[in-house]
Amino acid sequence: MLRRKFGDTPLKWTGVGILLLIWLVFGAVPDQTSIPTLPATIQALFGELGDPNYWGAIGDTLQTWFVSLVIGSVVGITLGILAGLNVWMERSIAAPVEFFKTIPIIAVLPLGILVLGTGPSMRMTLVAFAVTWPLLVQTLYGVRSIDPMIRDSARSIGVGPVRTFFSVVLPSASPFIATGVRVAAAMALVITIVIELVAGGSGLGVEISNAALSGGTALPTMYALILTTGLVGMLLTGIIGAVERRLLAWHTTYRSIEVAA
Amino acid sequence: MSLNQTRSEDTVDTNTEREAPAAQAAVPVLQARNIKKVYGKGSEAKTAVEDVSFEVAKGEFVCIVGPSGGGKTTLLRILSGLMPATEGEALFEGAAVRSVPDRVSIVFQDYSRSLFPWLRVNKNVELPLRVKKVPRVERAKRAQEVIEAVGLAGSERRYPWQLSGGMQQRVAIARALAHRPDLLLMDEPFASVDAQTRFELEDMILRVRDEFDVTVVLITHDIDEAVYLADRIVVLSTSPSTVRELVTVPLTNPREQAATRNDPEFASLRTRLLGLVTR
Amino acid sequence: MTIPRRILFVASYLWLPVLLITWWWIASASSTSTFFPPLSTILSETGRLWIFDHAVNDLVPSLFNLAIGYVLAVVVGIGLGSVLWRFRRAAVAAHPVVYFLYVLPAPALLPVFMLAFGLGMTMKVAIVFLSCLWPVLLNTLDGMRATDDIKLDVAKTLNLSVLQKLRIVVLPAASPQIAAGMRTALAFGIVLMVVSEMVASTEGIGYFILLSQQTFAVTNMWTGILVLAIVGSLLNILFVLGERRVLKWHYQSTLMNNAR
Repeated sequence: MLRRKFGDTPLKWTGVGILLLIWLVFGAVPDQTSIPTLPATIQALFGELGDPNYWGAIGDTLQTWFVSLVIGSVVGITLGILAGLNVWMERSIAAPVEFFKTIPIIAVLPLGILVLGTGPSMRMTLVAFAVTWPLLVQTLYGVRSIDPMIRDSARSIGVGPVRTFFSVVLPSASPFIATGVRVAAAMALVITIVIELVAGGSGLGVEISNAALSGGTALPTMYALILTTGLVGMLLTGIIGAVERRLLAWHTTYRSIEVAA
Repeated sequence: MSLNQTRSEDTVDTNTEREAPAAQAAVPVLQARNIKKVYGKGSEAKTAVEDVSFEVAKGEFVCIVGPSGGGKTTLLRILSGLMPATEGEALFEGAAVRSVPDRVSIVFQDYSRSLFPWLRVNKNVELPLRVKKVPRVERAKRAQEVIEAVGLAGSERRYPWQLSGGMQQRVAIARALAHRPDLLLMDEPFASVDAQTRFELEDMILRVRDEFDVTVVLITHDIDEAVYLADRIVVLSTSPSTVRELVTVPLTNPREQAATRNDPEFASLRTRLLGLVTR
Repeated sequence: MTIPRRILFVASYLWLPVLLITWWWIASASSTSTFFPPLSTILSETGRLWIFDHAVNDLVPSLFNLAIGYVLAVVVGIGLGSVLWRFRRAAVAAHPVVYFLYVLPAPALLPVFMLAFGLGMTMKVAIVFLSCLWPVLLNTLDGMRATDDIKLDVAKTLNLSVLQKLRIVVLPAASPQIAAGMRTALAFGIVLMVVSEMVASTEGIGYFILLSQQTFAVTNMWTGILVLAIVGSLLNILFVLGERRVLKWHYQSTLMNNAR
């Protein structure tokens, strides 16, 4: 298996190479204003790397992403566990949760701007609000999926409710919660960028729209920033995935859930 | 694609064969010739099947028994053409098997995975006919015949997952028989059902074998099952598999669960096989 | 006196939504805040504005763009996914690039699309298409690759051609995961529909909401948010209902297997 993976590496780079080649050709086509040349973009990217504003923008985006994810996780997971353990709670919040989950958060953005302005608190509030619901639902599924046999046997050998919670409920639900966090992390980044693009303030989205407004000369810079956004996305996804694998390596159902998700 | 690929001295034109009954008896339906299978290469190589040869005549019911994990499934995959042998070869009606021949059907152990959950029972059974572009009305009629033969009448419009395990395996058997194959290969078909259901399915397959005039090769680890069903038994050794012995079952047909199993012949054969398998 | 179980059951679902809406109604009734007009005003204005004036002028064009981009993405995503399933090496080579584009937040590409396609309908359809394509494509490919080995063995015993194998075995087997990709894509599509209108348009519901906010027409903004929230939820509900219907076999067989 390992060898096959290694054997695929050259093929993967071939794919990336082909894309860069296509870019090289299209970027060199004269009289078009939407694709910069590849060398100019690379040059712009290196230029950005030396610019403190660039790192500041990345930092702002990451800050919004991280704080929102933490808030959303705490609220979502707590409510999810409560709803998972209590059927009344679950029924009570079912309708509001379904509604909030499907509202396009972008619809609420103008209201957010009006009430909270365009600063970081508005961004964090909206992003946290958006990621709370999928996390809640995922946690609820996790708590519900616990084998009743295991729960009953814990009870029958005299394990108290608090210990049952920490030694049975939480570990069993953790793969589901992990999937929820992974999905929420990807969502949080998209929404952060959207809000930055539309509302302004600070962050990568703002830099991209500024570059777009500066016209032709800033075109390579804009592409460099878009590439950066994609790389940030890949990095975050990679980190979350690695942490998840490390924390949940022990879990027998982990693999099957991985497939289902 | 021609399924009976021409091949040097083994070549037999099966069409002429059918028209000349005199010669037919001479050609076995299935031949295993020194089949060997090695998985992996170099230091990681593992031999699953060492050297297996036997023949199955037309109309015979042959069981292959051997210990668990003894390369039985590997052997069946090679015999059916799902997998190539490392050495040796399988011949169906005299021609080397390269892909699954048209006239061969397979029943897998895990019915819940081999049936298509998105198709109703009748559509599952019709599948081989649909692939062969049999007209719709004809297709339904022929599927109905096999559905009734395996005892599924009334369940045509249900989904496989709505049925019990034994019923699901009946669907899989019906699907395998739908296009009237000459040879039915079965891989531990009754291993995942309870004992009572297994007896019913065993009797059902014996009945269907007569009704459809099909040759059956069935793999099992259950010695009782092999003795009860088979005309002849191929006893395999532990991994890597070789043929330990070919045993002819002297029991009379038709068989009947209680009477046959009480036959002293059954008991002595069973003891003998147990000795062979566990040796 | 005991309350019938049925009533109790229904009440357990309804009390909180009813309470929340009542609370909103009462708390905002005498509101003097510019940001939070009375709910009664929002509702009556929603009726006045959106039946049918703005529905026809703003909502329908938005949904039209969404529909075209989404349907195109689903068709191309499943088609391309099938091709990549057939040619493993192509799939391996394409994976890093496809994955990058999937992880890259699609809104970041909006300026590029504005440069390439201008500010018209083409741009909006294109950005919806692009954002919906990757989840459909990746889920199609993953779902097809996860097809049960034994089902592929059955395909082999039937000597299916590649196209038959795709149509009869692999596509149905992958359909639950394709549907999951389509659901994600729908959410992406709605966001991109609205964002493209907010950033680069003079029509559509996204433009209406943002313009109302920028001109401090707060009640109008609230009506837009309400309509968009309802439309978003409705599209999602319709999708889930359709999915439950088409994939009835999947949901019921999973339930059945879990119960065993």
